[in-house]
Amino acid sequence: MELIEKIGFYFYDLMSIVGEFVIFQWETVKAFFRPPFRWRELLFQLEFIGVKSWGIVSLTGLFAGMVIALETSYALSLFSAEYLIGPTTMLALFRELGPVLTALMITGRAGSAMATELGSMKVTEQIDALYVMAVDPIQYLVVPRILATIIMMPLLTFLFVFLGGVGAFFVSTYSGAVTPHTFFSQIITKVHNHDLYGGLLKTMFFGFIIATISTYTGMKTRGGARGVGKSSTTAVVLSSIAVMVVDYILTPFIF
Amino acid sequence: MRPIIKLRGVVKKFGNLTVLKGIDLDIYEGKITTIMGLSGSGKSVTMKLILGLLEPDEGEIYYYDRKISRIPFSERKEILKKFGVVFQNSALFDSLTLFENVAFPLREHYNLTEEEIERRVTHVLELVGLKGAEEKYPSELSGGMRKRGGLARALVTEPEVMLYDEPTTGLDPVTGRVIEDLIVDLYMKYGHTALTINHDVQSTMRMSDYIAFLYDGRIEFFGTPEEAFKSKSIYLKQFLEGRAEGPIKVV
Repeated sequence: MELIEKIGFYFYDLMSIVGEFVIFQWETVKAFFRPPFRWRELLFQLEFIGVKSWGIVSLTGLFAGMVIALETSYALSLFSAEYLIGPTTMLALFRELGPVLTALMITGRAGSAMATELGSMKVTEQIDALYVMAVDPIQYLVVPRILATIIMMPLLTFLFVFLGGVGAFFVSTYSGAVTPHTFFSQIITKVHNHDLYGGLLKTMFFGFIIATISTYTGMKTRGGARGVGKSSTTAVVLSSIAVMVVDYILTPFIF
Repeated sequence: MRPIIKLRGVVKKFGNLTVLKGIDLDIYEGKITTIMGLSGSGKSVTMKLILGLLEPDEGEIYYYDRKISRIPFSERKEILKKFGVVFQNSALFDSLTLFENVAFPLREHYNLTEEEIERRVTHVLELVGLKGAEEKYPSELSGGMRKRGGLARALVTEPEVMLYDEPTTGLDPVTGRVIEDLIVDLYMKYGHTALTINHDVQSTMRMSDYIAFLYDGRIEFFGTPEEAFKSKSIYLKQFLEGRAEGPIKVV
């Protein structure tokens, strides 16, 4: 009996959190279209999430492209199909690795920062202070972060994919697996615009998910410094899992 | 003398714990009212209910005759602009300088020129004795300075009602007294209504026109400081005398 009670309470708590999160998302979406629009905050977040992430995204993109080219070069050599290194690498980057790895990088860098900053503001009553000064905390703190992440994710993914392509080109041509001409001509014939657009569209959903989860966990922080640390960890773990799950759900609809 | 804020039959529960068991309370216009009580008696909860940071489970709260409990934020905004709130830990925005903190409500709600903002911010910072600290961040200020910074931010819009959440808690006796005198001076200067939360008996008696003593989720006493000393309430008597023995059992 006690076990059933415990399971019941667990599901009740879980459903409460899910319900609260859905309401939070709805309130946020409504606030997108309600003035005043926080342009200054949005610009600041665009810089923090986008401009300051370009280094880490470039590096990971470059090395991801290089290692994929290295691995596919080996796999394709088993079938004497090395000439397909270019399109194989670029398709993987455009459709999956670019969007997903960029999302994970942004989760680690910007998502955790959002949860920590808002969590710290919450436990020191700064969010309550905003509210009592008649400023809607969702509109002032949450909306600019979510919009900035949605806007910056496709741009960062494009950078990731571009540098991944550069890395793949150098690894595959330097090793002699393909000539530069074969590398590019195969990409042109086998990779299509919708592969790129589909991937970039996915990243906008990822941006929304990462930023809503991170801001939500930040805004719900309780219990001082430990609570802030917990919120940061929860934001990263939940966002990463959500990106993977949503990627699987979205992919068949997009491509 | 009419009440500016009224609480009627307000009940607040947290899970199985009922913190407020149906309180009625009037905050009179142009007076300093202090809510006193033991730690955890619901003083801060009462203030949060007035501000809309929490909603009552039962009962209503009024600003004059306008109901302000369970209303959407879009409606509450106009009421909140009439309030100035000083938080226990000041709650200054740590990413902004002191000047930017104090200017924040002006920039949000008033269409003022930068010169006018500067003039008003400098004026209130001077009033609270923080002139010269404009460019410092909250982390670079002492506890007393942060408290005064919070006070300046609450005061800069010249609100009708000032709410202080334990304004002297965590300060040394001298700094505490300075803050207390400042609250009274500003009250005399601006003539606003003030609601403070305090558990320091001496400080409360010195500065308040009215005292509300919260005990066991109810208003055990409401009256002037003189009436408080004459009150027959055994709980208030023990609290005012600061005795461990008596009807109030903490442990």
